Amino acid sequence: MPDEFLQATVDALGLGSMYALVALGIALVFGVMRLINFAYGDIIVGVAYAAYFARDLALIAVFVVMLLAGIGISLATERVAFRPLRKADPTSMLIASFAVSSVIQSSALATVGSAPRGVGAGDFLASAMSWGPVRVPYYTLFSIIVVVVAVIGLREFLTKTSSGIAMRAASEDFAAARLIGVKANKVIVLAFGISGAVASIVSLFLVAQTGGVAPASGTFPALLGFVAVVVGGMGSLMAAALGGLLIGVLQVVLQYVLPVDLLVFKDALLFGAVLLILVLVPQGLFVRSDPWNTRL
Amino acid sequence: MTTREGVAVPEAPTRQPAAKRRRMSLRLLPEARVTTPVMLAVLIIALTVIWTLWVSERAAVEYLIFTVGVIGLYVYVGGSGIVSFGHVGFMAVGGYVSAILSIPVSIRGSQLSGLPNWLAEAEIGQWMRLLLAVGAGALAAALFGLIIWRLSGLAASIATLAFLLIVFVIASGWEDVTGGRGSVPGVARSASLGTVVPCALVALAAAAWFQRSRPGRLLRAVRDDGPAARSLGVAAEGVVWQSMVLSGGLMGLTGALYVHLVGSVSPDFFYFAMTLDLLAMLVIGGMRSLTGAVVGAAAVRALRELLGPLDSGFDVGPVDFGGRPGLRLVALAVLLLVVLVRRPAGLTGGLEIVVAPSSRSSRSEDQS
Repeated sequence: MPDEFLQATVDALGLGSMYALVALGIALVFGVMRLINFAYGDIIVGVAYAAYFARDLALIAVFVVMLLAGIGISLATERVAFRPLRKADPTSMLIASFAVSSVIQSSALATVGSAPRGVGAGDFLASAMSWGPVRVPYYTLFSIIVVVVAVIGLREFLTKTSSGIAMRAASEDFAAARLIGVKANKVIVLAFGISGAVASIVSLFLVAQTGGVAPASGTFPALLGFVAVVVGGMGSLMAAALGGLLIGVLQVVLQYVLPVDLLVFKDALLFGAVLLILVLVPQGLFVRSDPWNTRL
Repeated sequence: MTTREGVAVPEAPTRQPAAKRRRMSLRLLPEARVTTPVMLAVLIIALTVIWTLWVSERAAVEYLIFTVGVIGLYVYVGGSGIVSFGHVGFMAVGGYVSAILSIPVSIRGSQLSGLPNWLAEAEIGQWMRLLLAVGAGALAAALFGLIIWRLSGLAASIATLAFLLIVFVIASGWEDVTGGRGSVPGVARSASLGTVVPCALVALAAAAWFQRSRPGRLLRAVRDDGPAARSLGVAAEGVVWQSMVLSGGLMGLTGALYVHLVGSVSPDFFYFAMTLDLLAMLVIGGMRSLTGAVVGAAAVRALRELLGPLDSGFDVGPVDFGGRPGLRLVALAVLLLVVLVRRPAGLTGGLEIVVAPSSRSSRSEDQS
């Protein structure tokens, strides 16, 4: 029993840290633009496809390609789709991001087809270590490390650098920030860029776990990412990351606790739990006040 | 007094001096009037005739089904201003109810072993099935609406997304009852013009009636200025809930009609592609008006005829463009984006079509 508990804890931390990363990527953009980027999952998928097309290159080159793809696709969506919509109301932006996601996904479907492609870039992470009775896959270990580094790094960036402080100012009050000289474009582009880089890392972990990519592979992780941001609390990066961790924990708990014939409904129960949290604590679990007026 | 054949005849009292006839014309106005659903019904019937003659009866039926769906979506999204990604979930509920009840009793029990006997053996006629689908959709919407009673804005939208996923997962996983991930054969192909046209007109009438009813008007007040409406005593959550119930019923109807068009049912029918289709139609037409919903459905359906070859391939002269599945959705999504950027209020600008007096007051009045 304790062995199972330890294994479950390791799994939860691994999954949770990956969702925390996704949530961070989404929260970064949400912070400056109040936009939930439905296309985030498709950026992750785009990076994986880039890795697939670059599969004949040396591994290091593949990593570079992935990073560039993540940042590139993210910046492209900003420039083409979201910049013209900057002044639009939140409803339009939400639908627009849904449309962008459909564009990317359907384009992938139309060009490379729905058959999954094998991606080997993450294989070095796929093997596992054994710590006594517990199996720790390398990608779990790495994603935990990456999340910790990312959170610390972002914190430093946001508090110690002028760009970071500008981003925080913009996320608190965009109009006021512009009035005091913060360049809107620069801050938003920066947010999208960092968000894209995070997507690249998430993509690496995803292909490490699944070994391949298909047009719809990114949908589910991204969905859990949005849910993590909203459940954790919009407007705070730390809350988003904690939200991601919570989602990971919930998933693993359900996996272990559900009887076998109910396992197929695991995701329904997960989203049901999310719904419950949303209803009881609409402003988010890890924030103190309700700055976004989530109640009618 | 005028004279007629020498007899003094009192003139009928006139309301305006010189009783001039104002010219009536078709206009787009912010408020719907009684003429709005009439005009929209004319439009729908005209388009149905055009599709049937120009393309096929099936195309016309499909157009009408989507029209019902967009009207249903409008009742909630246009009324409350909350973007719902979950309404297709209500379609699923209605769709499965009607589909399962239409599978011939002889094979129903064996195909879906999880059904209780009374369900496996129930023989339900076509119209009763549709009614049950409406009821199921409305019931699901009522329950869900109660759950998200206090939510608004982004939290509500994410909640509706969660609902879509929950329905999808349950429909995919509960094999004994829903047939699981694959499509279930044996569903009656009963969607014909004779079925769908009345449904479309009823949906139109219901939406128009709700618009003009007290809760509908209160809803508009809440949408346009929530705090002001509440300060006047409007029970915001209550009217939003009512619109959710009505729209859920309409979506249930849509789902039922859809499965009877296709002849089978599957969770994949009621997922993101359908959500994009309906949302795009509503936004492109104009999210805030019933006219927008109807126009959007018609416009996108017309485009589908033009965009269809993208999926299947076409040639321009000697050049052959091979089609790729998925390309149609790309084009639709791009169009949606363009509309959102350039004309967020949609083709109708959120206005309703009305037959009303012309506004040209400068026209000379001396025409008797």
